[in-house]
Amino acid sequence: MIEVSGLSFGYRRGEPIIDGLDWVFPSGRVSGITGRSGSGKSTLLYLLGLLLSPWLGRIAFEGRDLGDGSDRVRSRVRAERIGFVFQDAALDSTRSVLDNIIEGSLYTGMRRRAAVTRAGELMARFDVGLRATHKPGEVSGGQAQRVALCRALLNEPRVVLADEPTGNLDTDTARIVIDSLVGLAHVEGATVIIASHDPNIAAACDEVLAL
Amino acid sequence: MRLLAEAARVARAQPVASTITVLIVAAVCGVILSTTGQTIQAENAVLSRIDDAGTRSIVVTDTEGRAGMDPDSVRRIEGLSGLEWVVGLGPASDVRAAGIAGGEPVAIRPIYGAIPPLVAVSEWDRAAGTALVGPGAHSILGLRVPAGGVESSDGSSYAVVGWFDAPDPLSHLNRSLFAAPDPAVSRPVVRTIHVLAQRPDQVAALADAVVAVVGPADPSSLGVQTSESLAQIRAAVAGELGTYGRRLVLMVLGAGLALVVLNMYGAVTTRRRDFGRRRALGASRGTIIALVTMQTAITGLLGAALGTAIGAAVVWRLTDQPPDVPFAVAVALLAIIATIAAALPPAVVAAHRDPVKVLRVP
Repeated sequence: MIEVSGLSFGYRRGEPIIDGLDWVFPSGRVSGITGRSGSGKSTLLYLLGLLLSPWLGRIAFEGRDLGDGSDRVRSRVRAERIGFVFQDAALDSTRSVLDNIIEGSLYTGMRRRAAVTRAGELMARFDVGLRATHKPGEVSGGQAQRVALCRALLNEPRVVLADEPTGNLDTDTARIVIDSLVGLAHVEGATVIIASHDPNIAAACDEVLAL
Repeated sequence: MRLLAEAARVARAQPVASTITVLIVAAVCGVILSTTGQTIQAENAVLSRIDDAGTRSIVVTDTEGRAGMDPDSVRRIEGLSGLEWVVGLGPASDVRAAGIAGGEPVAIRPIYGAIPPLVAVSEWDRAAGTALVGPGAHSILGLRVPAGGVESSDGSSYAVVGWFDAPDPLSHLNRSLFAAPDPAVSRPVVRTIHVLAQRPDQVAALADAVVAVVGPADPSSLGVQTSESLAQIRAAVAGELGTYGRRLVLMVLGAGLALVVLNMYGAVTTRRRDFGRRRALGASRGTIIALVTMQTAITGLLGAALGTAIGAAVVWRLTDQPPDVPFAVAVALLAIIATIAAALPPAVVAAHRDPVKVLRVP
């Protein structure tokens, strides 16, 4: 669960994008963040992912305020407890699909062998196992996004943050990704937060925060 | 360990930036070795020539026999620090080969103290009445072998029982004989004391100490010859060449360091998205700095190995002498350290880039 209170942030002094936000993102549920372009959906997501520090307010991660923690602590939480899914997958084009999926284990201290085993399970689950040795440039956009999903889930995160995860996908692939995210929340009890302007995603969410 | 492997992988994944770093570091090592390396070899050769000329020698002479030098003076000087060896010689007298009437005379001197290790010498028990002959005296006396007898005009005779051969700074003694001290002489006299200092810069102080130990009864009768001026020339040559070499090394290292900074800055700029992704996946700023630094260190290591090998080969080819190994190793280590230092500013820049700016899709 992530709880924010009095959260304010902006990229320029005196121009807050998020101003005094109070909200709770519960475990086991899919929370949607919607709003027009520039309303701060992605910014809120990156604040929740501890990649940005708020001007004011509190970001409590399972009861622990990490809004202005040290970079080391925030990075450790990000590596061990949070999974990111980006709109364009953000895969490393120089490494194979398998190596992309296990990249996060480099920062958690997970042994490579354990990471490869876990990656194998995830690739089978998301039907990208046959592409393990391919480079990202050799797989389709839908497959790349599923690979990104595998990467986000490698460390069995308690929180999954997805920024427009279906923005580049066809309807069928988008449905697979959405179903996977919903399953993570409902079956595995993770906190899933999706920032999107897609009404289909909003419909799939248990609750929606409109910015 | 995984981070090091990741750094090596990133270095391979950026072939252009890595190759440029390797070439810069190789050029730095190669240039330093093939320029300063030669200077150092030249300096060693010049200093060796100066040392051959006897920069460390001190000769104390009791010219008129009034200073009161005796074998005990030699023993006391042996106790001084900073000297390599000391030997005393008594007054010279003329001897001729026994049984050869009208033969050429040569000088014979009693020797006090241990024979210096640089003098080649046959076995000699220093029994009274025995002597060793130098190669020049051997020839002048007309001896077939370094054995026989010599006698002086006052009737003293010595058995020649062996030979010696002295290099500089004692080579002038080769035209004479060393005699074992005669225990029957109640007050033996030493006329010349030869001292070799351990280092050229110790000559002046050691000469003063030797004179103080001798404590001459008549200071005006004591002559002291040192190679202090040669020692000063030696120090000046060493200082001049050393300063030139250090300046050159600093200039080349500075230029190389600046090029590595620019190259790595360019490399991290093109990898902003890569660093943003890594940060999102949990890499701390420290991890990013370590990654970039290790990546540069790996390429720097390759460059140092390549440049040192090429520079050493060039020096060997140009001077016909193997390169100075400690200097070559020091240059390689210095280049690697400089490369790592050069990687730090771009690494810090990479670690502090805002990951959100590169991760957001407009």
